[in-house]
Amino acid sequence: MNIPELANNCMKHYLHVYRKLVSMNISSLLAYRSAFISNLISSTAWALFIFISIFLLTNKTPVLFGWRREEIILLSAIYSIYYGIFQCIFAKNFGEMAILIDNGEIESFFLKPIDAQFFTSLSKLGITAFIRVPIGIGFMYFFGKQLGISMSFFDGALFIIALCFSLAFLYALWMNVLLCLIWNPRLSNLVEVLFTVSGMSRYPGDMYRMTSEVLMYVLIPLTFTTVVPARILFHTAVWQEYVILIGATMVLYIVARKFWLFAIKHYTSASN
Amino acid sequence: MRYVQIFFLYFQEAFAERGRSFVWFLITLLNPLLYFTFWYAATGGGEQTIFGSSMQSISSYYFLLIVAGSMLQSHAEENIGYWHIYHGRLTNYLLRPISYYGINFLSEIPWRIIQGFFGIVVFFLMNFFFPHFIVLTSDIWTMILAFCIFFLAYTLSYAVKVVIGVSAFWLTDYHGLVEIVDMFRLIAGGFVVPLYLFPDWIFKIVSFTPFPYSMYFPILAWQGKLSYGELFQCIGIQLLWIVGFFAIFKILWKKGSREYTGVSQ
Repeated sequence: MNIPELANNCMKHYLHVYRKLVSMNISSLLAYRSAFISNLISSTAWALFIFISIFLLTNKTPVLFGWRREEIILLSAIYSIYYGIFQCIFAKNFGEMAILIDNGEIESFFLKPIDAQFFTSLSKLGITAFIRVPIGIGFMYFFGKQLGISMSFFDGALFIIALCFSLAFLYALWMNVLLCLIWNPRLSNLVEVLFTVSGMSRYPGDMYRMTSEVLMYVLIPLTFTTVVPARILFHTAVWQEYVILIGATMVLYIVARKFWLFAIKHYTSASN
Repeated sequence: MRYVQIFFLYFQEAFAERGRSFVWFLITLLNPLLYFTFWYAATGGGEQTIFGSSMQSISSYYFLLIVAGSMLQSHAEENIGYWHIYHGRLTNYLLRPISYYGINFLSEIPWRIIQGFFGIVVFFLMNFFFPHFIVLTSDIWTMILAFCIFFLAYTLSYAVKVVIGVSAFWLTDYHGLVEIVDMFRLIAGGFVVPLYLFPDWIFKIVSFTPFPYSMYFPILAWQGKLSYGELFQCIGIQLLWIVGFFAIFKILWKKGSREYTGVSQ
């Protein structure tokens, strides 16, 4: 069997496994209907909170850091979309990963005849968090219309590609941070900090630039996860920003993979 | 004496988990810093005023929010609703000759003291690096009253959270309720924006909720923005809310403990 054929078979196998995982997650969701409704309510509440807080902050200011109020709200809408997808696909797994490391139970994932990082990252779905996506699309449509934004098929494709890179960036960032739990299992609440840090990406990078250079260099790649897709919509995208987003994502992702392989060698399974 | 011993036992536990406490504190730290950064950038480095408020006033508010956020926010609902009722561990507490309301109150305080300590350290660091961005009251009587308001604010926060926690007697999954209340708490408590920057009609509505009295007014008290009359009025309203929520807890507890089966879900 040649290498492309092997890769194809491998990909098919993983897709098959993922389909099974999705159907199991849906069955579990339907079995616990009250939990489903409760989670749906909380996801909707937090999706709305993002918009309420940005409305309050920009209440009486039409222009901030060179961004119009509607443009900042549009950033929040884009954040809501990609963060909704992130929460749906990855966030629950990271929460679970932190608890499993804390309890010394993650080795059960290493014993499965499948890549452990794949299984750890994708076995659980937070389906109710997906509600953030239509809410985000609704706000994006409304404020995009107010800003007179038109989107061609090419813009749409670029927008989706940029969102995919944003997702990959966030995934790699979370993985790199949470792998530190292998050495400090009790700090499983780091997940909550990551939720807060991720939320910082919904503000324009220019805001951090005006405050401190150190803060700027730390947070700028994170803010690009929403700013680059937004600039595609505004037709103001510059190639340097694409390069930073793609470059930072690739570097972070490669580091995450290497760090994963390194970290699991140091896992002791000692429970708290 | 029994409750003092219990308090020290919980303090030992919380102190052993100080690393975890620090991570929790980071969450309380990051959000006010983010909003401070927002206003700092929006006012061109603090040069302009924000709807009549100086940057000094706004920054003091957010720096004090770091301390208040780490000291005054009770998370009793998680223990009561999830660990005790949902997992059926309440049975142990029902058999003990101590007040359930009191023991949960005591168990939470050490966490607040440790996280509050981190908050105070950060506040002094901010005071050192940005001395012209912080303004505090220097009147001793205002300080004493502000201290009372701080303590009552924590008690009020606890009273609200206990009521949410005991709702788990009837709700299979009470997290939806917790998240909605949290969302209102963050907005009406002044976590995002000081309430004086709200439109008047929204400010009037949120004043009728307990949330501003557990976060916003205690901060204003330390800033010296409240007159003696307003300070006493704040204490009075806090006491009313605390008594009201305690009465609701009593009713819910009486009915709920009859519903409780002790079977973990």
